[in-house]
Amino acid sequence: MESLINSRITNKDQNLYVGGDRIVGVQSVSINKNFNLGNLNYAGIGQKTVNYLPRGAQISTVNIESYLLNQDFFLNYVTGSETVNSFILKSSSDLDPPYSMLNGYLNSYSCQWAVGQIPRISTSINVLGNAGRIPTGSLGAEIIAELQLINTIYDGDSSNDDWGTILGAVTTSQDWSYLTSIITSYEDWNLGGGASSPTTGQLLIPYDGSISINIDDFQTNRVQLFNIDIQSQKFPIYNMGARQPSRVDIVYPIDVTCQFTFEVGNYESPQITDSPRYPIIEDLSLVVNDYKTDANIVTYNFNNLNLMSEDYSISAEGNNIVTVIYNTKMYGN
Amino acid sequence: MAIKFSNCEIIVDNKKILAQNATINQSNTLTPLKVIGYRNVLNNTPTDGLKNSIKIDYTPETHNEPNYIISQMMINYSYPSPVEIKVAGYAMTGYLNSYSLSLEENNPVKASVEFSIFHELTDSLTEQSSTGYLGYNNSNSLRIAHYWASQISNADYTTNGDIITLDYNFRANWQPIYKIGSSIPSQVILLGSQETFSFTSEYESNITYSGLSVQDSLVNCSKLRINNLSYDWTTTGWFPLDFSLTDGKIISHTINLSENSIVTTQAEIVKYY
Repeated sequence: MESLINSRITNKDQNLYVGGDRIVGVQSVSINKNFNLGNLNYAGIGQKTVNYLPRGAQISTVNIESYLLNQDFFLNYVTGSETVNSFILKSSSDLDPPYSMLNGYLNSYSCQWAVGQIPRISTSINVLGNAGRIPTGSLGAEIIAELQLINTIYDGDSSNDDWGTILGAVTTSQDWSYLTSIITSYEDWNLGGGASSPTTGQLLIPYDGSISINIDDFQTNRVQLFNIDIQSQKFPIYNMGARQPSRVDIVYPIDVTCQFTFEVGNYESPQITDSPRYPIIEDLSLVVNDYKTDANIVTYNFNNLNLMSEDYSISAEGNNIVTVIYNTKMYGN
Repeated sequence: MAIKFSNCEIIVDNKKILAQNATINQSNTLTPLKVIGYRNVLNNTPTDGLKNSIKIDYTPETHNEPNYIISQMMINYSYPSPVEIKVAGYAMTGYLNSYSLSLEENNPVKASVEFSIFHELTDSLTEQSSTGYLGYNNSNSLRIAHYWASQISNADYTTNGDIITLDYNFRANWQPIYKIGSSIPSQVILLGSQETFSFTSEYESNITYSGLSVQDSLVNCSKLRINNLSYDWTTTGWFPLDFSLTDGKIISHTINLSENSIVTTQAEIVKYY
């Protein structure tokens, strides 16, 4: 954590890159290194000095909280078996020494949204390789090439330094009109969506009116909150003689849980004895677009979502609220 | 006053080992004597000599591994004298009848050894003296045998690189020879021994004929070398423990399919001596 001691991750000197993409809208990054040491205890140790030795995989866990802006940078890594290198750089032109997190995999992802808020992504990277401020001289040629690519794509625009300040203000105020006024004046800034960004050089921001949920119950019932949670099982394959795995495999199924909270319009609550004879199965299409241009940021399509639970609540203080949780399993090749 | 684990040193062949468990078992084989005309058991009669054993689970250090040396001597038909073993005040001489090593992902190697003891145990539990460390130096874990520093390779150390876990087991077949008038054997003879290597990998290798050798089936699998942790950062001082798989025969090959896991295979290789 040496590079994070004196500044926040949203500070201008801390930019997060994952798989070559600069992650726009990062709110927090926390890195935990587990050296996985255990003490060596033995019969007759007496009062000798206790020694420690490795007793498990040495993994660093990187937890990331980010607004969903421009594009979803993480979803493909969660549902695939690809590993990814991540870096925290002062800027795209200042690469040495980078805070590197090498050979990581993602197996946890959630996207949360509530009325009046920008959707937030929470994910974590399990880093199997080295992690820390590694001098470029100790990085392999492939890593150096990746850093050079970052430099080529993103170098030269220091105006994005204020991006964290903008989002920080919005987080505090939760005032969409305030954000709109700021974005209008800053929309020409190059905020670094990355080479794969749908509109590099332009910021795509979702808001209530640009989010559409296509599922039968929610055509007339007012959704207040959704949470999409995806968990995949990844297996690092270790081979004798190596402290880092040779590869990471994904084992299907991928678990998808979708939670919706809505104010009831004409919603008909299911009877519990109807399950499993009359299962409630829905297909979900959730589209998140830019509030202004309607450019697509991300689309979630899930089929065969099974209703797992329903929470029906009535209170004197508010409207009739229902929370439903769906689950499905995804298989791949 | 209770005897403390931390004050019970365990010494095998004059070398202190880093034991996590030790079990001393004493057994007296009796057979009930039944006779016609008598309803109950008339008496119990001994039908075998006194049999004692000690089993020790420990963390091996490659530079200080007496049981590896003893087992290799037996493999090379150099029959060792019974080994002196000391456990918390008990002193005994025993014959190594099993020795196993287990290598699991990212962990120190686990060792287990069992000795047969054919004499009476007459000592009692006592804690070590504060000066009784035999000059043992355990100031650094770098001599500990570890998964990270171990490999299966061919003779020129081209590594296999595909082994996930490995279990090694050595077993000896000792025969005590008793004389009339004594419950203690006058001689203990080594009749034979065997090594078994069992490893988990993703290899698919069918057994197509009896006597299939490891070399005919698996790539770069003629030697197991277990180094210590220092292998990770130094070029010397590994004190490797070497095991030969040459001429080993595959006696079983198992394919494991399990929910929520990758498909793995398990090959078992045996060598008889």
